[in-house]
Amino acid sequence: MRKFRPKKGILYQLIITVAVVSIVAALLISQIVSRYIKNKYEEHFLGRAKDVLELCFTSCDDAFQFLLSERQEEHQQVVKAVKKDVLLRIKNLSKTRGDSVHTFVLDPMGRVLISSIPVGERIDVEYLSKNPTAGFSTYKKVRFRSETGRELIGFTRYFPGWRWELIAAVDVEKLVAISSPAQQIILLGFAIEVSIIFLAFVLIFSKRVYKPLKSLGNATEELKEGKYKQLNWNRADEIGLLANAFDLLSESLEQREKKLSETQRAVLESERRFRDVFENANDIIILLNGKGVIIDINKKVEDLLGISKREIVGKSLLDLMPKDSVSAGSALLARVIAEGKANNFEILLNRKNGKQVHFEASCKKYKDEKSDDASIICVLRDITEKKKIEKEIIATKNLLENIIENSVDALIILDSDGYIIRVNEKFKDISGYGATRIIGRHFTELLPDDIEVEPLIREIEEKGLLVEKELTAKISTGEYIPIELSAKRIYDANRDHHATIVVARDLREKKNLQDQLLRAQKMEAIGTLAGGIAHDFNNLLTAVKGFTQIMLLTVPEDSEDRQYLEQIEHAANRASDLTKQLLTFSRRVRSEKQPVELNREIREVEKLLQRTLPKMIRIQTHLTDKLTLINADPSQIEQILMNLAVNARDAMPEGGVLKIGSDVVYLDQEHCKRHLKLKPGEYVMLWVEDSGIGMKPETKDRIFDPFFTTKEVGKGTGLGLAMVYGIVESHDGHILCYSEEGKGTVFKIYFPSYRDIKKVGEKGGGEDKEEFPRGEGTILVIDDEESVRKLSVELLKNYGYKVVTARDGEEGIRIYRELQEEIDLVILDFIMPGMGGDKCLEKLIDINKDVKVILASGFAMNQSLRKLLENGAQGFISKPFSLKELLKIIKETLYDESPPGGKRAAYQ
Amino acid sequence: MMVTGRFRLLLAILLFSFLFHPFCAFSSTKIGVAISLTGKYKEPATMVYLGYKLWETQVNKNGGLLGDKVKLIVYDDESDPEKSASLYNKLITKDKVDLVLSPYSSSITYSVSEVTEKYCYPLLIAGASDPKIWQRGYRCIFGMYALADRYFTGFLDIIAEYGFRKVVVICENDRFPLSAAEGVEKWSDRFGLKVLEKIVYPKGNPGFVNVVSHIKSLNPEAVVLCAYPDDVYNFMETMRKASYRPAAFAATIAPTFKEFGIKLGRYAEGVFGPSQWEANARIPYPGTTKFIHDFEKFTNLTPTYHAASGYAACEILEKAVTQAGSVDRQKITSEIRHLDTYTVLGRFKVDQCGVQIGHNPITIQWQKGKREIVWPRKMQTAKPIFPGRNR
Ligand SMILES: Nc1ncnc2c1ncn2[C@@H]1O[C@H](COP(=O)(O)OP(=O)(O)OP(=O)(O)O)[C@@H](O)[C@H]1O
Ligand SMILES: [Mg+2]
Repeated sequence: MRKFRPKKGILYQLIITVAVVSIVAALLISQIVSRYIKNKYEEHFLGRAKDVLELCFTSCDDAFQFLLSERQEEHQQVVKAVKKDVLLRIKNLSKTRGDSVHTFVLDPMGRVLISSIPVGERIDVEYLSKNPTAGFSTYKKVRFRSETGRELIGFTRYFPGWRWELIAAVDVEKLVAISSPAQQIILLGFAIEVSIIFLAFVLIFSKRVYKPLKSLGNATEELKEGKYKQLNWNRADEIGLLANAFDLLSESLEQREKKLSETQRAVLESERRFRDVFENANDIIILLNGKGVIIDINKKVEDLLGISKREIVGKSLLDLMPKDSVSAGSALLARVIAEGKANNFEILLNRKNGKQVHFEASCKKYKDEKSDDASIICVLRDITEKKKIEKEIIATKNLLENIIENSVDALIILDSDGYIIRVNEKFKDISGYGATRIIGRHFTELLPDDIEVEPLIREIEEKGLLVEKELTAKISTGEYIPIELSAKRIYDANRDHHATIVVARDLREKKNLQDQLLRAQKMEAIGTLAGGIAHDFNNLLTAVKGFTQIMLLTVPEDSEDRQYLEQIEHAANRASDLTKQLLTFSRRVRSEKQPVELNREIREVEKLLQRTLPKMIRIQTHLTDKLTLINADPSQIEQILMNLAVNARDAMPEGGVLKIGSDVVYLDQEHCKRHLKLKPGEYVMLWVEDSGIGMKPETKDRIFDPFFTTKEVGKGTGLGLAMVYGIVESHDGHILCYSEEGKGTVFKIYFPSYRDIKKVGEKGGGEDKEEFPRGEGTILVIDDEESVRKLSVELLKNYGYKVVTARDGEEGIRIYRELQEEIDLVILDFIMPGMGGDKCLEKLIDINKDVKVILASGFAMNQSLRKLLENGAQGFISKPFSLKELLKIIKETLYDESPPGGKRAAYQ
Repeated sequence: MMVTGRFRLLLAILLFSFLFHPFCAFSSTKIGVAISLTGKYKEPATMVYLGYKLWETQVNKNGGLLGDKVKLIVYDDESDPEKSASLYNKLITKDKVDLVLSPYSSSITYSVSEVTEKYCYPLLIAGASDPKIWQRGYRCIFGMYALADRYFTGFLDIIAEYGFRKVVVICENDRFPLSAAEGVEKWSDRFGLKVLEKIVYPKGNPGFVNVVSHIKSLNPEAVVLCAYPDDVYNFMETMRKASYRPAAFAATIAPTFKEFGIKLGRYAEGVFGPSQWEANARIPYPGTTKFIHDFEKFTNLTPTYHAASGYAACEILEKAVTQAGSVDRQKITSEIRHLDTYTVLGRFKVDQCGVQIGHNPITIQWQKGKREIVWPRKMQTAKPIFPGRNR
């Protein structure tokens, strides 16, 4: 056993080093301390000197400022006295302020003016400040010697007022004398301290560190020889820690050795088991090195590739692949190396007989523990069969996909609970629901709420299918549409789960066209029937009317029979009216077609309506500014408008808005497809809209039937719209009706546009002119009713007149006075608040005795009115008046030169 | 620029208030003054004028002068000495004012004092410091300022203390600058400094390019410029362009204005200037703090020493009138001569010739954009600095 014995003991090394270092440090520190002490003393005394110098300077400055402010700085005697005083004060400062600070004052020539210790006549100062340049500081450090040869250091400062150099300084020797005893005491104390510390250190180090280290060394030596020993020292310091660490180390080494031999046995056992699994696996398992060379392979390779294990080992995996898939193979290897693994990679390998086999490869990289090379383990599963099936499935799937998407009918596939799992493109077209919006919803959401789904489901459940059921479905717009539904349930192989395939066909178009055709046929039939009857009837009525008239001629005036005859004639007239309407419906009345501007017709009728419809119905027109020329019979167009308007009126018993509008539209193929008789092209559209009660769908279906009415007996004949229908048909037009109960109704009528003919000239012949005579001149209308005033302005403007209005008699008089020259005629309301018509008339005549006045009144002609007419009014018209009457009487009054009193009147 | 704008507005307001002041028919003391509200002396003169105006307002608020309302009659002399003299003539003979206050600037005061002396009107000179004014044996003129020859005492004292030796003086050929420059020579000699050269340039802003390059060649440690503000700005601009700056630089009047710092920005740093007074709490005279406060409230401006001297002149006049007990001008004159008192400006005491011997100027220096008092040492608000000393 070797003893732990170092060549050069740590104890000796440490003792020498510590001794040397502490001696040097002691020397250095004592040096620094003593210098520090000396500097402190010096600083302290120099600071005092500076303070004293400051005081000296202030004394001088104060004295000088005093002289300046008293303007005495030139006065020799005063100055001398002041200076003397100051010098004395400076000398005393040395005594009172600093026991060791001496003060001196030098004159500009360097002569000593005063000094607190004897220094002779002059002082040679040595400047100690490093930078005596101008402007940095006013204090300069100096050194000089006194007369007795003592060295003094301190500061000087220049006082410009008297050009004095002021000095305050301390005695250097005195400084040393004060500081040296203190230094010696400190040094001695220091030396003793250092030696005690040194001895103590050596003793403690030897006992506590050196000896334990030595025995630890010996124990370690023994460890080498396999003796696991425990020290068990209980020490809390670093040495203790080291000993504990040693104990732990020795214990764990002992245990590790035991464990190692156990593990070795276990590993061998496990290796044998894994090899079994490896060799008997159902897939090919290959072990490759990092370059893809096969290191090991199991027996399965012989079954699948027909190559023996011996042939393969040592080859590259890529050698087994057909040429065109080598690149895929190397990609696989690269990926495994880079990412550590690759799963379900498809590769092709050659069989010995030249055929190729599809494999699915899963590889994993692992690091070899001994060498740094990576190894790869690959499991290859034969998927040749699986591949074949996959291809077939894809082909079938594509086919099905095509069939589904290109189906002319909507296809919906439901899961076993009725939730939608698939829809096709056509479904979207019909329903407006995209796949994302509808998939996952229940199929009943597509059906109206009131439909009974139970029977449907039962039928499918029982029979497994549903054939061509007609139903309504709800689409994304909320509309209900007719569909034809077929469904079939399909099952998976085990019949556990099923799905339902639903085929839905949109019946809208078909239904629509069917309806239209039916209606057209019906109308045609009714038309022929009614027309025939009406024609014959008319002839009969002519006879009845003719003979009645003859009889009326012969029967004496006072005969009672005459009354009965007149009633027959009256009834016959009404019957003849009705037949005329019927004939119009059945298109037996010839229409006199000519180019007609629809807008103008509308405007004409609007005027009429304004007058005749109740006031609570507002009439609005929305006319296009395009040319609305059509080939039509104007009187029939008027009939259409009047009928629609009257219906609107009846639909709005509480009042509302009646809108009449026109537009020019182009109807394309798509649009026309939905309506039987329409051809693509340009159409002028007339529309009439009301805000009335609207119609139920059942009513709407029948409105064009002759004699269909919902109005009470005697109020409606049900021929109005029938006639409209007939007229539209005879104009090759098309009428549509949109209505909703409670909301109102719109009628749209399309007339083929008459494009070839330019705008028609002024319509109407001489007759019109006579009935609505135009004229010119300015008319003043005095009326308290605003509507009357407005109406007069509107109406009269159209017939060439200029109109001024006044709200009451007073205003009227004022306006007349102003515009007397221009106003040709006054229309004066008889009864007005304030100044009445009679008073007003008087005043007007006062202004101009030839004034032309037409009186207007809601009352019939009476005594007082008559009096007015005698007193100067030229005419009278009763309210409400018609345009025709108004124009007529205006014209007559204006162009009648007869003097007042030649009266005329128009009675309603 | 802003300040001049404000100045103008203020002036307009004050002039208006004066114009529409109702002429009191009974017992008002009329005090006349013509002063440079326009022209070359506009800035300092307006300050003096505002000092007068503040006093007028205050004295009237406190019950007037001997119970009478004080009314200032003011004319603008357009910085023209001849015009000013004739205006004072008009004030005394036509407007028949009871008392007068002084104009601004040495040259104007020189000619105006001839008129006031003729009519024996006591004149408290609040805007001039040329000693020549007092060398004519006049009896009715009294200085408010320390004389111009004492302007640079403080500056020279400081630079001597800090070890400078070489000085150059430049001055305009005008009364006040010349006498200030004379003072520089006298005091430099006193303090052991050497005046390398005294450069006198003609009146009317000749341009300083040559002057500056000449000074540069002399290489002095300190330069003193005695001139009115326009010339001072001009000179400093020239120095800046020549990138020349002596270790210490002092100039008259201009550095006492706020505009100096605004106009020159950082170039104002380190410039010394004599001031009769500063709007600073370190000024220890009675009433000074209140005056600064009142003036700022009255005009929205910080008073310069010109304003303080204007106000101080009024204070002296008020004291003399009160002691005389009437506006008897002879009595007032003798009262003023014997006063030894303090005003916001400082001590007031005149000698037999009317020369101000109570008041001493102070020295200010621009440091970090502010005016600091550096002399007398007792009033120091900051130690002097020499930013240009290394160049
Ligand atoms: N604008 C409308 N609003 C609501 N219902 C209407 C409207 N127009 C027509 N109808 C309905 O159509 C029916 C048929 O109208 P049509 O004009 O043919 O006959 P009528 O108005 O009843 O009688 P006639 O017009 O012969 O006096 C009306 O009874 C009414 O129910
Ligand atoms: Mg009808």
